[in-house]
Amino acid sequence: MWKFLLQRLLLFIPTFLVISVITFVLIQAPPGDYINSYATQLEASGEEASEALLLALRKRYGLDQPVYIQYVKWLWGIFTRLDFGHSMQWNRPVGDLIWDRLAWTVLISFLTIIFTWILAFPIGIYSATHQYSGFDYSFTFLGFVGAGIPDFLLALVLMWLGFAFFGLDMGGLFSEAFRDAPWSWAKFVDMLKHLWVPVVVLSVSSTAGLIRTMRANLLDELRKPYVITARSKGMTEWHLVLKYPVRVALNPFISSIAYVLPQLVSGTTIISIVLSLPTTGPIQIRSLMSQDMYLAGSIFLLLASLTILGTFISDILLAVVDPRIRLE
Amino acid sequence: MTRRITRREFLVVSGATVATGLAAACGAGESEGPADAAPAEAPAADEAAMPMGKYREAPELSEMVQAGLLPPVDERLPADPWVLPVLREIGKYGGEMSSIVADPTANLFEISNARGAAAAGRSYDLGSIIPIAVESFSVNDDSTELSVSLRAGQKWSDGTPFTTEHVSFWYEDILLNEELTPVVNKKLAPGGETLKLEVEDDFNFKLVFAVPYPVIIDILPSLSLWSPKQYLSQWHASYNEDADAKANEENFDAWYEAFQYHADEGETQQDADLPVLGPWVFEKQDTQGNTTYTRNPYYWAVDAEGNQLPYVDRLQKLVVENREVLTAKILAGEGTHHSWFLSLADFPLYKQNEEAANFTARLHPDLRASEMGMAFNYTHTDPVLRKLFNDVKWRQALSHALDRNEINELRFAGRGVPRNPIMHPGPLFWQEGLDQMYTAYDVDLANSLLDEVGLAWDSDNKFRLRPDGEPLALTMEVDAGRADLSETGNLIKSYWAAVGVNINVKGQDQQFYMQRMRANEHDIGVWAIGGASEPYSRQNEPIRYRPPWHWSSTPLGGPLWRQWLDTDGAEGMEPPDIIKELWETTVQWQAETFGTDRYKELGLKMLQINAENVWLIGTVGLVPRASIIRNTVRNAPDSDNILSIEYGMWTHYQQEQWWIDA
Repeated sequence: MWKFLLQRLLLFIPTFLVISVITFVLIQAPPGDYINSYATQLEASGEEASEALLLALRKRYGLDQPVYIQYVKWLWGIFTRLDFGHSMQWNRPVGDLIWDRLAWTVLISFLTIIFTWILAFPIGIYSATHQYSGFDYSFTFLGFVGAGIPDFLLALVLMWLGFAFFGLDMGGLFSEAFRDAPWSWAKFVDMLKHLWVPVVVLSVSSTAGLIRTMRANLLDELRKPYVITARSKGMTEWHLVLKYPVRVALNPFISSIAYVLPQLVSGTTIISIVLSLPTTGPIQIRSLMSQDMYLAGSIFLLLASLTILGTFISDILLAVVDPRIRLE
Repeated sequence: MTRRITRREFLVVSGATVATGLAAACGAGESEGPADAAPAEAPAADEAAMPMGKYREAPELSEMVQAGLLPPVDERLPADPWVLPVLREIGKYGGEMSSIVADPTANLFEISNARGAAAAGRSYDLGSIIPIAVESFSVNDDSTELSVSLRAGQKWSDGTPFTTEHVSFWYEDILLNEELTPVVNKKLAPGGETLKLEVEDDFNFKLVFAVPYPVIIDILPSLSLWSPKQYLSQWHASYNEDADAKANEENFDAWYEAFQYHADEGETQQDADLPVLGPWVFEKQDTQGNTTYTRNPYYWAVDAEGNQLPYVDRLQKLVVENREVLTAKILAGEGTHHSWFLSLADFPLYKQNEEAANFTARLHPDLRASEMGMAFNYTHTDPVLRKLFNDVKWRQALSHALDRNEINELRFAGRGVPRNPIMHPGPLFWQEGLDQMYTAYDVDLANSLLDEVGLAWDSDNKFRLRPDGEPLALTMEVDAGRADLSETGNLIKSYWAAVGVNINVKGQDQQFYMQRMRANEHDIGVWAIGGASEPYSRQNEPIRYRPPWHWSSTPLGGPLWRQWLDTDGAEGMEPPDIIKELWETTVQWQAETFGTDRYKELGLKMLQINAENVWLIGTVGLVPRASIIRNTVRNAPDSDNILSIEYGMWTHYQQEQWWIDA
């Protein structure tokens, strides 16, 4: 077990480095740099952005240096001082901008996973134990509809419904009155009123997938001889199902952390823009468009690290739950 | 001899569209200041408790005065404050103005421009340039010197008296410091030489130019010639030996980075202690970009009854992530006033919600010359295309081939004006019909002109061939981020196909497209045509009236001509005589004093040469701009007030005099 953990942990480092290199190179790949987009802004406000000025600015931000030097400097700052660089677009240290947003991203993703489980787990069990029943068909149908609806569309529809029928101001996570207020019970309740929309929207598509997996896995298990043996020994049906086959069928739920996380993170980007949420998504898109590279790079790096971490956690949990994995 | 121009005189010599209302609109004269009358009035009952001085202030400030946190208002104001004439009515203190922005770091003109305090600004009717943060300014006869007098007793928002010391700091330690100003703005270096500062005493200074520079008056509204030395010098290497160490402590690599961080007064301001001169002071910005500003207790302007301005307590900039949420929030009644992020297409929607959300939606005149304009690349690397593009008949033909009325109906609900991008009617040298030359929709005329140019049809009679017999196929690249340009581009494609000219409309990443234009690799340069108005051309550069018909970083047509002109023939491609003449005209126009006969003559010539040669083909311009103002906001502009980025949107509509009728 310890060897297994150590192996996983060591793999973390090269993965992280490879991701950081790819991120940095990809961000630099499109033509132009932040200074170009800055020049466009300058000119829109009636200032000429002369070549001399652009050169001086590139020098100022170190953009005239080769990419690998910029990369090493950036990474060095992160490792030695936890300094993620300076966002040129925001005129602020990147660190000031991302932690809040990262926390919201993690919170929303986490709540979504929990919500997905709460839905998918009982429905999956019910569908498997009542195969081909009316409810099984209805859940299957709903599941496929959920998987088929583009999430941004669902978000827009929910937002419109909220606005048109309940007069709710759906954008953001707080209403106008609480945006500036310090934390209180009322503010928490206000947040919940807004938070359910992204959580529901994001859950809809992954729930369908998990229901199907749960149902299929459980069906396989239910037909196995040990279940028949247990049943013949007079074990109550629910006790039996929950104690053995469901435990085996749980594997996909746990390993889903690893693949649901990246899906959620990219899913939240679109949803956050549509719903105007304070997550990393909107800032990430914007920083890419303006080629504010340290900000964009840091966000990608942190999200990638979180995903690696998620995989790591799900590996450990799997090993805990399923002895077979530990032994391999 | 230096002739001193008073404000009132300046209005006359500036010769702008002077109307009777003008004296009222900018009568900030010292002598007739109605402020003297204010103390004579009996104090209102609820104000009786306050110690009454010459001026009155917001309740929140009197509380601070009583608590000993602030000196009394009479001491905070200069002896002779700026007296703003009544817009519609005297306001009441209190309330908050807020506006929503769909991009956190974008300039939110609704709020940002309220905070400015440049040396000068425009009068309420936009017709003339008046002193704002200074008492007066004047230029000498040959326009080589600008003399400025500061108001004695005017203070920064931290209470420090505002003197020429702050001007010297800006000049010596910022403008002339190579670390902070690696390249001096061309506007501050007329004749290629950075302007000089001569300080006379605490309140008088002169800017001296190497060459006559009348444009200095036009650019004053965009300049602040000072910086809060009392606060910023602690990060400056000339004042603090340990500036670099201080910067390192704050996680900056060098002192000038820390300095710029603390000196930032724009959308990304972070330092709430930075002293300013404007009516509102930055309070805080959260990580989403939501920003608040509070009133400046030392703001040096009063209304006609001696109430210190501004009336409104706080400003708020609220950030959302996309325009749909923005629209939803505005329709739900959030925010007090909006315009920059509104869309004309949504105007009926705004109107429908007027009553429910308690606001009024209006359309204001805008000065944008054309919503989209095209220039061919007159220095194309292909000699056949280059010759073709330089044939005026080719350009006239393609201008005649556009159904601008249809574009207007389809894209702008018929609210714009079909035209070529030749200014707005109204500058001092306007000539009726200039914008309508070669704009009549006439397919037959276009065809016959193209025949004259020598473009034969291909064997299928579908498209025309180039003079050398090759098929004629051009690519029109447009900024892929601008869906409106692609849509209009596709309409244009169909109009030109009808006369046998085959173009392909291709969306391109903005930066990549700009690079291609700079490298002279494009066929047709396409952009939205703002910046063609008289004030913009004057303040900045007549960017729409000479090669490359935009800024050099986005050269729509003929980047190599511009290179040749900029380097006196050392690089680039020699332009034809007409371009040289045009260039000379624009240069002389810039160097001429505003409003003189020669100014008008040169300006008109600049427009005429452009109108006749159609280097820049326009579609629909002068499309009105929508605004939404909550009904409780008073003293705000009406639908006959121009609302245009060319005049800095709301900048000159005195937001310190707006008030909330709760």
